[in-house]
Amino acid sequence: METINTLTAEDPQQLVNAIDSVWVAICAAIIFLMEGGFAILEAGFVRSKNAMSIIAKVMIDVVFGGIAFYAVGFGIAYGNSNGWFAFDMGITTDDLGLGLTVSNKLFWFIQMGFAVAAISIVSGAVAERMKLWPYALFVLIFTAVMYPIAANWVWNPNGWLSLRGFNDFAGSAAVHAMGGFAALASAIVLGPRLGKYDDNGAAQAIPGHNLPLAAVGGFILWFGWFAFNPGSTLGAVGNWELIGSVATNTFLASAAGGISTMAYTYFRYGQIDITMMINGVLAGLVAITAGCNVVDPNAALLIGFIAGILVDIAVLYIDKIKIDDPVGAIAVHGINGLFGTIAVGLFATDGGLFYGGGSELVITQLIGVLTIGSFSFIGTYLIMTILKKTIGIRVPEHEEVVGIDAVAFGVESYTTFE
Amino acid sequence: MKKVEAIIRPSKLKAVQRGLKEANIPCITAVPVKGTGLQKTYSERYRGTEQSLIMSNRTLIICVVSDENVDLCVDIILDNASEGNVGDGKIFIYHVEDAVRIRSRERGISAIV
Repeated sequence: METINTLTAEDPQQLVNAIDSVWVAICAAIIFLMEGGFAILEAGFVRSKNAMSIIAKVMIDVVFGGIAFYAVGFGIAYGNSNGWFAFDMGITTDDLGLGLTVSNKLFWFIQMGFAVAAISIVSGAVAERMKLWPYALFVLIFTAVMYPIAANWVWNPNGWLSLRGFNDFAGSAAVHAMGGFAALASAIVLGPRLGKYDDNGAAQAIPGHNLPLAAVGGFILWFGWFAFNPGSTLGAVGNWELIGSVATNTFLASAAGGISTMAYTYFRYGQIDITMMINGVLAGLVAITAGCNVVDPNAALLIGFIAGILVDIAVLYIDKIKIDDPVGAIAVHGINGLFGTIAVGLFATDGGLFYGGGSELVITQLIGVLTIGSFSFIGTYLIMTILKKTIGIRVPEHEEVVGIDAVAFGVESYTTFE
Repeated sequence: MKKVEAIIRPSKLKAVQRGLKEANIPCITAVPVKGTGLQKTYSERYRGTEQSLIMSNRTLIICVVSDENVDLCVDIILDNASEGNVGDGKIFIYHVEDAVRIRSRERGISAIV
C-alpha cells in the first residue's frame, strides 16, 4: 500500500513521474467515459424495447471485462512475452520494458479502458437479439485472453509485431480491428434480427428510437478520442510536440470523415444522412488511431476523408450480404481499423510508401492487421458457435418480438404514463 | 361509412399496414397505446419494487372505410395481426356520421377515398 506523500519532489525523476501520472490518469478517466458514449450511442440506434438491454450489455463490458483484464488479461498482454503470448497473471510489479514513468497500476488502468472499448464494439453488433449470460461469458473470454493476445503482439516490447516495427499507436488494429472483426463473426453466427430482411431477402430499415441520444453518444466518443490517442503517449514529459500533433491529426481525420460522409450521402441520396455522419466521424477517428503519431496533418485529412467514404460503402454492403449490424460497428471499427492500419504504411512521413519509404512498412502493417483481424474473426466465430450449440446465444422469438427489456429485465425505458 | 379501430401487437403493424395498402386502403392512423386485456403481462420491477397493474404496449389502428370495404378491411387485419394467442387484440367497428376532407371541403364518401 502506497502512502499519501505531500513532500516536495527533490528528485527530478519524481517530478517527471508526477507530471506523467497526472496526464495518464486524466486521459484514462476520459477514455473510461467513452463507455458512456458507447452505451447511449447504441441505445439510441436500437428500438426502445431493447434500449435498457443494450445499456446492460455495455455495463457488462465494463464490470466483467475490467475485472477479467485485471485478473488475467493484463499479464498476458504485458507480461514476459515469448513474442506471441505471456504467461503472467495480474498486474506484475516488474519493469514491463516500456520505459514507463507511471506506475504499473496506472498503466493497467489506462489499458483497461482500451480492453473494454474493444469489447464494447461487439455489444453494438449483437444488439436486440443476444442473450445476456452467453454474452457475459464471451466478454470474459475476449477481455481475459483474446484482446490481450493481440495487445501482446502489438504493444508488448517483445511482441512479434512490435519487433517487426509495426506501428499501431493507439490501436486501429489491436483495439478496433480486433473488436470489429469479433463483431462481424458474432453478427454472422447470431443471424439477423427478425424482420431485418423480407421474404425476398431485401434489407428493411429498423430505425433507431432516439437519434439525438445516439448523436450525443457519438460526441462523447469523439471527445474521448482526444484522450484515447494523445493518452497513448503514456507520458507528458518529453512528448509536448507529439501530443500536439496527435491531437491535431485526430481532430482533422474525424472532421474530414464527417465531411466525406456528408458529401457521399448527399450525392447518393440527395439528402445528408446525419446518422451516417456520426459513423463517418467515428470512422475517421478509428482510421487515424494507428498513425496519428507518424503522419502529417494533410495525410490525416486524407485518411479521414477516405474513411468516411469507406464506412458508407461498408454499411450498405454489410446490409446487402445479410449481416445485421444494428449500429454499424463492423463498418466503423472493423473496416476502418483495417484501413487505418494499412494507411500508416502508405502515409507515414518516415517509411511510408507515398513518402518514398518503400513497401517494407506497408507490408508489415498488412501482415499485422490481417493476422489480428483473422485471429479475432476465427476465434470469435469458434467461441460463438460453441456457445450457440451448447447454451444458446439468441433470445427466444417471443422475447425478441416483445422486447428484451420487458421479458428478460422487467423494465421499460420510457414509462409513458405519469 | 364505418370506422374500424383495431388494437394490435406493435410487431404486427408493418404487416397490417402493408396488407391494407395492397388492398387499396392506404389511409390509416396508428397510435401507440397501453392497455390490459385478458393476457398476463410480464412482471416489472422498478429498483427492486414489484410493479402491479402493468399495461402492455399495443398499437391502435384507426381507419375509416366505405360500408362495402368493412369486411375486407377487417379480414386483412385478422389475417395479418393474429398470432393465435391471448393478447392478439380486438377490432371495433363504428358507424361514422360524416367525413370532411379539409383541403377540398368534400363531404361524405368522397372525402375518404
